[in-house]
Amino acid sequence: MRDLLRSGTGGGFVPPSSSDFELPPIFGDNAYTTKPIFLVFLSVILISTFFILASRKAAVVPSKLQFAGESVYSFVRNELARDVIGHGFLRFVPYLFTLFTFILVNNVFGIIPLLQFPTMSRISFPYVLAVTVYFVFHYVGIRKQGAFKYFKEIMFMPGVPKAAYILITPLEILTFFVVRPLTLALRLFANMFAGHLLLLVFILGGEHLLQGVIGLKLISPFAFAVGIVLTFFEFMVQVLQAYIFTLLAALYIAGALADEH
Amino acid sequence: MAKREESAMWSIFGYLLSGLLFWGAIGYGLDQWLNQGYFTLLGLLVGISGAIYLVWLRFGRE
Repeated sequence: MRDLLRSGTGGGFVPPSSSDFELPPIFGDNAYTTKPIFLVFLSVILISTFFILASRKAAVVPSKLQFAGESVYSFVRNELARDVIGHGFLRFVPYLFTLFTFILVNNVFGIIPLLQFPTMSRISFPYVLAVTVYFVFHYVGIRKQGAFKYFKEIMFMPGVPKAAYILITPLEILTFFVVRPLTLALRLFANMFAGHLLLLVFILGGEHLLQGVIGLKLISPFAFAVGIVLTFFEFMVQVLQAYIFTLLAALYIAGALADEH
Repeated sequence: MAKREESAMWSIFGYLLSGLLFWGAIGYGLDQWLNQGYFTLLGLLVGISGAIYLVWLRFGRE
């Protein structure tokens, strides 16, 4: 609503910026009642309801709902957990499944009419998810191999001349403990942020052109058309990013479990 | 296999980034400390070489 009013007040076109992501609280005067917070709760309710309904009357001949639920589950179980982690993958399936569905639904919120905000474009949410991945894969590695052996495997790769360790050990440490979790969060955040911004540019731009002189009005449909095409493109990116986040989480767990990285 | 390539790509990206960040930061620190101008560049070069060496060790050694 704010966006619609904004360009109607006579001034020039105000391009969308990062301030469009700082939404005011829906009620009250604090940071805990903003739209992304409610979207997160909504996503949890939606996911839970969907999978409870899909699995409640489980039958040998599945209903459509059960089939949909099982497709998502077996995708995460087989494509992500089993293929990547291999032996002993089953205990990570609940975690990976939660990650995948949670990120997927929150991303797709970005193009659902009326909701239209990808929760993960606020960086705190990807950070928290990456922190959970961070603790899971280091914990798993330390439990499996013992702290000493686990850190030794990370820092000192076998079969390398001793002098080379000065060069590469800091890089291994930095990669494992800083760069990996950071890029995991930033990749998801940046994709959602940029995608939403792109949609704002074309759709607000189209709306602004519509208020111009007749020549501009004629161009406006093209801006909206590109906006619609980009919406479908965004859907692809949103699904892909949920997949990549979960895939990399699974790979990090697999790496921590493996005897040699 | 697409998954392995995807994973290799992001690992390589991570190593290259770490290399530049770590040795680049050391070079920058030396520059600040000794009032010189060339250690940052040297650090970045050392970092990227180290990272490429590490990538070769991990993925190219078979």
